[in-house]
Parts: sequence; structure tokens; C-alpha cells
Amino acid sequence: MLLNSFVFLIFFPIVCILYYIIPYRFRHIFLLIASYYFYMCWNAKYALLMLTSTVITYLSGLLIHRANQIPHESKREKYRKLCVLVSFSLNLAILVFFKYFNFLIETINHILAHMHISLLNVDFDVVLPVGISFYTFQALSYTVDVYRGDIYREKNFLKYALFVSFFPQLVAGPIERSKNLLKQINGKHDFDIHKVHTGLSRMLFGLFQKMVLSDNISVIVTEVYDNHSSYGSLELIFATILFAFQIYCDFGGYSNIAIGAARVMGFELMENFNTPYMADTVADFWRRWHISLTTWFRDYLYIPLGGNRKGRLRKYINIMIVFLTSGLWHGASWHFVAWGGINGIYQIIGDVLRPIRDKMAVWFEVDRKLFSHRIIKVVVTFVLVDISWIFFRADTIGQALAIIKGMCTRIHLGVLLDGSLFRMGIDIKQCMIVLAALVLLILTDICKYIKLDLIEGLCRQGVWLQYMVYLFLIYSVLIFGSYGPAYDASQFIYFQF
Amino acid sequence: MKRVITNIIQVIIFILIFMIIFIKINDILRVKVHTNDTIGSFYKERSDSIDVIFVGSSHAFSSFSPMELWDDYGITSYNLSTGCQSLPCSYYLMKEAIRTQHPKVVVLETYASYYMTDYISTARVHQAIDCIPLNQTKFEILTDYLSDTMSVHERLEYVFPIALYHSRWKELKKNDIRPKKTYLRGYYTQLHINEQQEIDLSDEVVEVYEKNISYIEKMIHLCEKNDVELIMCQTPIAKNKDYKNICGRMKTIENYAVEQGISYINYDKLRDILKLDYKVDFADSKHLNIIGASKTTSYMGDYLKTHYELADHRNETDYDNWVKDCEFYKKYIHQKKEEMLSQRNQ
Repeated sequence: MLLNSFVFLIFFPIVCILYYIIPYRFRHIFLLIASYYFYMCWNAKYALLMLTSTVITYLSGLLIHRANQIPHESKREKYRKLCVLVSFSLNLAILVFFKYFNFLIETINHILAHMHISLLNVDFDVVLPVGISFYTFQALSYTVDVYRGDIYREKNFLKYALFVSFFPQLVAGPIERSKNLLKQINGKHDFDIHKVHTGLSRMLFGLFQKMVLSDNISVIVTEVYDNHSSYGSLELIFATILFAFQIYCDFGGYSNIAIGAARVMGFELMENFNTPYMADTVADFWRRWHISLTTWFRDYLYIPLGGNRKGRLRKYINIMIVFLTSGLWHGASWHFVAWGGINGIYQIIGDVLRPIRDKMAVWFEVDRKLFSHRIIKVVVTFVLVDISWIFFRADTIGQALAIIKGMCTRIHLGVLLDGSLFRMGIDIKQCMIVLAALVLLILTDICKYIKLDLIEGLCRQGVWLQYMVYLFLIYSVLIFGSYGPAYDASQFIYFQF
Repeated sequence: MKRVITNIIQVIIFILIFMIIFIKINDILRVKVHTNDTIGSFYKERSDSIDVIFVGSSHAFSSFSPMELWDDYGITSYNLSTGCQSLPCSYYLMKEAIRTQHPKVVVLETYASYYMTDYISTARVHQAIDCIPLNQTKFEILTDYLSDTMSVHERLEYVFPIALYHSRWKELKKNDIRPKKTYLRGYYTQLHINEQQEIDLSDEVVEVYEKNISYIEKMIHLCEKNDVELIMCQTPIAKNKDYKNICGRMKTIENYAVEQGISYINYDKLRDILKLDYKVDFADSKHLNIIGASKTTSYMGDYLKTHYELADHRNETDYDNWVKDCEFYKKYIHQKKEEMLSQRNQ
């Protein structure tokens, strides 16, 4: 089940109503059943996989707790580390098998082919379990948090299982921390009309992002990227800029629906996107983009690797490890790794050049706080990030390079005059709606950037204004959203008989 | 407590506003070409103002012109036929017609007995039933008729047609926002002359789709229950690739109708009485043009007048709009007939 599907539109209100009717002590059981049902709507068998991860990390928590009682210090540490190691190995083994098996085989075959050795032949196809990257990371964070003593181990298995499978954020994040979500599962949530109101508003805005923006933009981007050799530089640049917003609205929209849905039930999930394209450096972008994943990598990979405490070189190596892993986390393909690598390199270059930039700013007497200076930084950051998105979106590294080459070489300005720029894969009217929605999105992001909470603000406004905004968003989704069967006019208009 | 009540009221008002806009937007977005808007316009007729209803496929909407029945006999009628209308769809439309208009006579054109499936395409089902409001009939359509062949998801498209039509926003025209009421009352003017050949008449029967018989049975019950006279008929066809099967299946229905004591008009056998001219009267091998339709309509008018007590509404003040529409219609048809004939002579 997807959060933007019709089934969810029925599922969610029923779950919410029952949730508030059921006595407190049974609520976590009910939510657990609902969450597993939610997951099993996609594939019942794969729920067992999630259960396995849950059991492993749950036991790791219990065992680490027991190990903490061992009086002998070195033995205690050894035992505790073993628990973490086993939990990580098993969970990552599952993840690697289900997500990276085909990728590994392909890569090995590729290498073997170069060495003229016969290829490995594997006869089964592994289906990628939905959300496996998300819940595995969430479950692993629990093991480390208990190990570090940041959180007490959870004795109640059902509550812990709910923490791993909590349906709003199960398939696409935010990747929650036990410190936040597990505590809330243990708490009581009374029906709070304000939370329901703001939660629903947030869900609605998320749907708008996902269905009006992301899904419509994806048509343009797919058209241009699939036929990139027949498009000129302007079209490629236009599609690439749009892709930056497609992925933001897709991921960010989904996160908004998840955060909103959780809030309706009284849960506060962590923020996942904070106006990412307002960032003025690439490092800043990563503090604003997919925050739950970035902080996960910071807390559970970058810091254990030594972070920035072991000298400059080690710091850069650590950054590269984190970003290459992050690339791989996004998908089992080399172009994702390249995307991660580029972002890592950006940060290292940024760090290396910092003293020079500082000196230049002093030399030219630039006031870095000025709007005129900041806007340039924001634009440059966007351009850098957007170049990396080419590698994310393209199907292969080769295709990404071909697209970049096309951007630099096939310059035809004619497309600006005949309007064909706005007719790539979609109607010009549709394209105008997308651009108008994009302006709206940018405006809401600017508001967020200057710390203006639009949803809170709206909920305090008069009812008529709230109605207008909600109706506008709902009908935008219903009319301009991409859903339902493809309407084929010829079936309805041209057959009269 | 006070706050809870105001909150509930606010939510209810919001839902009401939402629903009103929702219904309006669904209506704006749905397709409005002839066969699609026939049903929409039907619901705008004054209730209990129509005495005769036609249901069936394109054969019926090409063969019976309500305006001519009005002009010659003062009978008020409406043609609820839509392209490839399946017999189940005819049944549900008949039901809606009886609910809203309480007609005295219902005419079923039986060409659809040729179909061997529940429906020809989903678009055809949409054309026939999209305009039926969310009522018990619609619910029955979804649970009895479409449940065998469609998933819940597909059926929801009939409850919320916006799911299917929403991408039409970019092609909306003035007629979508304020649709013109069709003065033809469901009749479709076929404006071509296409020379055809007579079929060989035969009494051979061909087996029909079981569900079709069961829905005809339902129609008979429905009419009996509501004290409505049911007439079944088959409009003339010309020689075509599969005419033997078409006639054979309709013969099965004819035999069934006679068995059940239902009047059946077989226009193919009446071709001499009608003076049907196969060189002039057809638009294609299955559909009459406006010249042919005048003959079938006129026969139907005579039949209705002799067999049933139908009032002549021509002098009643409530029917002024019919008089106006008819004047317009007569001028239009006259001009078109002349054009068609002169084109042919050239």
C-alpha cells in the first residue's frame, strides 16, 4: 500500500478512528497489526523478513543489556561488541542479499569477463522488498543506541516490533530513532484536534507535492532522459532542473504525508527535509536533505569511523566512505555510487578551498551576509547539486556523461521561441500548471526558510481561508494529479456507434 | 464541549462544500458528445413529462426520433440509447427512466442480444451509466452487473468518474461547463446515404449470451411491477459480414418475447410495408439515416397510437418547449434531407 493510493485513503481513517476508540494499553498492538497489514498488502511473505530483522535487533537489545551486567570490563566490552557485530552482520546480510545480490553478480561477471573467465550463472531473480533499506537502518539504530546507552532496552517485543514497522514511515522514511519513536510508542496519545488538523493539512500538502508536482514532472524528465540524444542543451538543462524538484517533491512529499499521518495519531516524527534548495553550500544542502538518513550516516558510520577527529586526510576518507555508501543505499547501481561520490568530492573540495575563499572575501571586501552574495551561493549550490542529480537520474554513468555532453554541445535556442520546451511529454497547459505549482512550492519553501510555519499559521486563520486553501489543494490533486486509469479520448469521442 | 460542537459543525460544512463542488466538477469533466450527454440531458427533463422511452444500442438512436413522434402524434418520448449499450445497461437505464418519468410504454431495441460479453468496452459502460446519480440503481450496477468482470478499483471509477476524466481539464470547452440540452432527445441524426443490400430473411435461431436473456427477463418483471407496457423491436439492418448471426440471435429473443406475451416488432420483415429503400435509407449497413428513421419512427407512432392510450400533449401549455424544439428540428431535418438527396443525385 502506498501513502498516495486510494486504498490508503480508506485504510487510514479506519485505523485512526479505531486507534482512538481502543483503550491505551491495546493501542500498540492494534497499530502493530495495522502496520503489518499495511506491509502485507504489498507482499505477505516479505513481512517475515521484516519480522526477522525485528527479532534480531530486539534480541541484540536484550543481550547488550544483559552484557552490561557483566562485572569484568574487558569481557563485558567484548560481549557487547559481539552483540552489535552479530546484529549488524545479520541485518546487513539480509539487506545485501535482497537489494544488492543482482548488482553483485553483475559486477563480478563484469570483472570476470575482463579476465576471460566464464561467468557466474544465477538462475533466480530477487525481488527487492519495499522499504527494506529504511526499516533495516531504523532497526540497526536501536542496536547501537542500546549499546551506547542512549536508550534503555525495550522489553516489550510488540512495542519494539511496532517501532520497526510503524506504517506511516515504513516504506519511505523518515528513518526514525528509537530515542524519539520508541519513547512515543510507550507514551499515551490523547485525541488532540489541533494535532489532527495540522497533521491532515501536512498530509494534504504532501499529496500535492507528490501527485501534482513530482508525478507530472516525472513525465517530462522521463521523456527527455529516455530520448536524451534527440534533445538539445536547453531541453536537457530544463529537464535536469525539473528533476531536482521531482525528487524533492517525491521524497519530501512522501515524508510530509508520513509525518502528517503520524501526527494525526499523536506521534511526532523527525523532520526530513528543511528547504534543501535554500542551502548555500553543499555541506549545508546535506544538513537539509533527507535529514533522517544523513544523520543516521553521521551517527552510525561517520562518527564510529573517527569523524573529523583523526586528522584531515582521515576526515576526507571518512566523508568519501559515507557518501559512497549513501549512494549505494539509494540503489544497487554504479550511477548511484557516482552520485554519492560526486557529493563527497564537492564537500572535500569545499573544505580544501575554504581558506582560499575566506582570504578572497577579505581581499575583495565581500560582505558575506549580504543577500546579493548569499543568493549567488544558493544558485551555485543548486547547480552543483543538480549536476550530481544527473548521475542519480540517468540509468548508467555513461548516459549521465552523454547528457552532460549534450548540455554543453547541442545548443539550439529555437526551442525558446516555438514553445516546444514546454511540450516535452506533456501538454503545454499541463506544463504551465506544473510551473505554477513549482512557484507555489518555492514560495512555501521561502516561508519555511524564514521560519514562518505556514501550516500552524493557517490553522490559526479564519475558517473561510482554511476552507479555501484545503479545497484548492484537494481539487488541485484531484484534477491535476497523476492518478487513475489513462483516459483515452478516442474511446469516448470518436466511436459514436 | 462548545468547542467540540463548533469543530464538528465546521467539518460538516467543509464536507458539504466539498461535495457540492465535487458533483459540479464531475459533471463538468465528463465527456459530452452526443451519446454521452443523452443521459445527462434526460435527467433535466421535467419529471413525469415523458410517456415513451426507447432503450438500446446505436440502432435505436438512429431509428427513433422523439421530435417526429411529437410532431405527428403529440407523443412525448425520449431515446435513452447509447453506443453499444449492453442489455444490462438498458435494464438499469429503463429502471431510472421508470423512477423519474413513470412512462406508459418502454421500447427495447434488441440488437444488443448480438453481444456475447457483459459489455463491449468500459468506455461504453461509462457512456451509458456515468450520468446516473449515486443512488440504488448505481449501487446495483456496481454490485450485480459489474462485479463479475471488474475489480473494486475499476468499479470505483464509476462512483468517482473524476478518476477517469480528470485529465480532460485541458480540453474543456464552453459546452462542458454549461452543456446545451439536446433538443433531439436522444435521437442521433445520421447524415449520409450509403447504398446497401437487402438481407435474406430467415427464421433460423442462434444461441445468445445467457446473461442477456436474464436481463431481458428482469426488464419484463420491472415493467410488470411498475405497470409499464414493454415493446421489443429490431430495427432494419442491411447485408453485412455477420448479419446471419445478428438476425439469428435477435430471432431467439423474438421467440422468447412471443413466449412471454411481449409485443415484438421485427422491422426487417416490415420492409415492404415501410417501403424501405435500401439505396437511400441507410447510413451504413447497420444504421438508418434520417430518411430511413422517418419511416421506422412513423410506423412506431402508428403502432403506439393504435395499441396504447397515449395522450396528445400538443395543445397543452406545459409542453411549449417541445413545440419550440420541434420547429427547430423540422427546419433542420428538412434542409438536411434535401442536401443529402441532391448530393446523391449529383
